[in-house]
Amino acid sequence: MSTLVITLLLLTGAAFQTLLPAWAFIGSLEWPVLTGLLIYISLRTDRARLTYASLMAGLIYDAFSPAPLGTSMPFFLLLGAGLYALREEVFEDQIVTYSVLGLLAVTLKTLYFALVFSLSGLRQLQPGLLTVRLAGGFILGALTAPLVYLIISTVRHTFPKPRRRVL
Amino acid sequence: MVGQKTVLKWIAAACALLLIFLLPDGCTARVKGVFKNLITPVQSGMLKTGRSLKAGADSVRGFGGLAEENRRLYEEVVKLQAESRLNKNIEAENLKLRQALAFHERQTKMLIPAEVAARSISGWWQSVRLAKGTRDGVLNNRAVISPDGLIGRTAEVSARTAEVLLLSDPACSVSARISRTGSFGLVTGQGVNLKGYPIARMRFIHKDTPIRVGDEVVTSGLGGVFPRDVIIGYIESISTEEAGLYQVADILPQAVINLTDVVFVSADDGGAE
Repeated sequence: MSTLVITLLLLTGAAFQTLLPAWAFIGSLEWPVLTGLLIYISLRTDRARLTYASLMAGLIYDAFSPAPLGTSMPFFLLLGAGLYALREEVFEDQIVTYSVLGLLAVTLKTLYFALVFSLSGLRQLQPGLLTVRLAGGFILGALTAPLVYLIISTVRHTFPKPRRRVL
Repeated sequence: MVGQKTVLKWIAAACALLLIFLLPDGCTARVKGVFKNLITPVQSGMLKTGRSLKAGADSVRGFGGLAEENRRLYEEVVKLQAESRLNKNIEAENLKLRQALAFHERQTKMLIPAEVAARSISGWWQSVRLAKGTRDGVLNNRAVISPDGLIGRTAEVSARTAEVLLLSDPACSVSARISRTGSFGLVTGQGVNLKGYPIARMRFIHKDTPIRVGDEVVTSGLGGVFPRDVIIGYIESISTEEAGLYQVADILPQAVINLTDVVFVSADDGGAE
């Protein structure tokens, strides 16, 4: 997966993420398309590109929210590193893999933001709302990451990469 | 054992992060602006495609070419209503204060119509992004209103986009006044409840002021960001602060609840009064 493809994927994912409707009953969390994309990329690329993808995901995530730039980058970098370490242990073409990784990643992300925002005084930590959001992140992560995988896989199979002719 | 190269890479990543954290505000806004300017046209396109598809479906259902005309007229009505409400407030103040100069200034108050391109990417913030920026005259820290009342204020403005912090965001505070009693207070966002309704809270209302559920809350005009007498919402419930020093009222921010596709950004600042 080239750097250009990674960039385009992340930008498209971010555009979709802001347009998908949020559900109030799960704490108005948005669909974690960027996290799903990072999971997909982490299981299919080398370490250098994964680091680039993690930094890019963090940059895009912060660029589209009023949060200070760089807030989410440590999380995405650690997530990328963790997923890279796990890639030999999981089946990269199983929906269950994406579902489990998705729910874990989004739950951790919710905890991370709750902690960072409350420590920096940007948001008050409300235990009730946090519980609802953790449950919401669990559900959304388990749904979104496999969906992202299925959509990209379908597109890649529909438009296969042309093979170079060897003379 | 961790290799020297790996350690060096992690140090480089940490330095990059530190650099991003330490970027001055101007640079941060520019970096964010680049991404927003890149994506917002795509998002607007997606929204327009969605609306066109809906209009197409309406046409199939028998409305013919009236759907597009209807949308255009709706936008026109929304704009006229917003201007009419602002003008009404201006006239009332003119009658009360008899200040010809103030009247003139308010008559020239400009409203810039802007389309809502997207919501915030994370559920932690209550914000929307407009598809207009400094290029169209939208400036930072300006009031954003709709015919229903105050929506919020612009927070980060790039050349083609403007981030609007909604009234329901905890970072958005507005100096407010209860229309019936004339008592002042401070309205701060409280996020959304589990039903999805945005909520705000008015604090520092004098403890002896007889306020009622349903009372209209408007902007006071103090603070220099928001124009005076723009509707914020209506009081939903009243309580007294723990120490009993002042009253607290939960407010339903009407304009945020009925957020329309087209909103209006004040071209002037509110002007402290």
